Amino acid sequence: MSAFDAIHYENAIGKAIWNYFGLSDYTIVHISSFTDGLVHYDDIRVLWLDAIQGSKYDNGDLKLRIGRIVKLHNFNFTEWFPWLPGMFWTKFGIANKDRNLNNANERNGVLTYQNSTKQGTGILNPDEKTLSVLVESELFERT
Amino acid sequence: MIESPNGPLKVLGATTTDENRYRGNDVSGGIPIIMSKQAYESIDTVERNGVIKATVTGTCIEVPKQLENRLMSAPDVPRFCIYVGSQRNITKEHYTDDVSAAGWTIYEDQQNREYNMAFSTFNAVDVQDGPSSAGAFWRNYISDHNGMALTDFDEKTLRLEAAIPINSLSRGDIDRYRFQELVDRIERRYNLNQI
Repeated sequence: MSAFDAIHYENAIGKAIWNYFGLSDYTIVHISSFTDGLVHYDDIRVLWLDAIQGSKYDNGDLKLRIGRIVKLHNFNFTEWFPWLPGMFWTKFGIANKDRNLNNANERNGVLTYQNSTKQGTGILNPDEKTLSVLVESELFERT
Repeated sequence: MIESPNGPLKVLGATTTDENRYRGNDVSGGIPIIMSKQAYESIDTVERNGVIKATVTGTCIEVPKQLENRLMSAPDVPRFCIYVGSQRNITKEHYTDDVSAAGWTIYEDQQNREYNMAFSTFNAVDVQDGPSSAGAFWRNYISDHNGMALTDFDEKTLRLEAAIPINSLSRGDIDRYRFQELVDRIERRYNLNQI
């Protein structure tokens, strides 16, 4: 092995170790958090409100924006991820959820939701599984 | 896992679950987390335990193109996720025993030619019985309404014999003839071609 090959070999080994242990990302995150600040969240609701409100009032000093380093404290990680990220915390999402729960009527142990307009029916199961069926207009409003 | 130029990436959801603070907190209100394979390996017991509580540091990034079929856009909501590339940015806390996930399906009422969306929550910690009980609940419900499931909710285990399986959708290899047939039916039902 020549000196030239040895240098390249060492570089390759170093790069492999660097990447394998995720050191590059670790370093980037820590350098960025020092220079650009670190935003802490222990509540998913606050995170989404920062994101949604920030997008409407872009004053150049958003707490949450692309490239920002965030630290999520005591979050629960699952393989189930949100289909429509953020929708839950919009005015429409909150109103829709509240309205479904407020319009539920119990009969024979099953909660049935009747929409005030037309065709909206749904069920809240007695074992706390919820099922809400949206009316036609809402279905297309969401998609 | 999804493939990317920088190697395989895993998609997770993250949320907080302090039910006392506000009602109805579940995974559908969570945030998508993208992890490198190396980072994910440090918490891959999530597949067995359903949920892992952890503190992570990551970067706010735009949703990668590979996820465009899986993460949809909501109006007025910025499209982003958190990327965690290193296992050194993850601190496992302790296991938790109750995190609500909400699956959904769109089904066709074949008698009235109506299309509805239905949700069902289940405990994500209960890896086996949680999603399977939600699936059973929907099968019964859709059957009671002379319906046919159009979409499924579990990419690992298809549970609803949906017309458009979710794994085909996420891979981008859906049966185009069947899909177009469905779109045509919906267009006719709601006169969408006249809008």
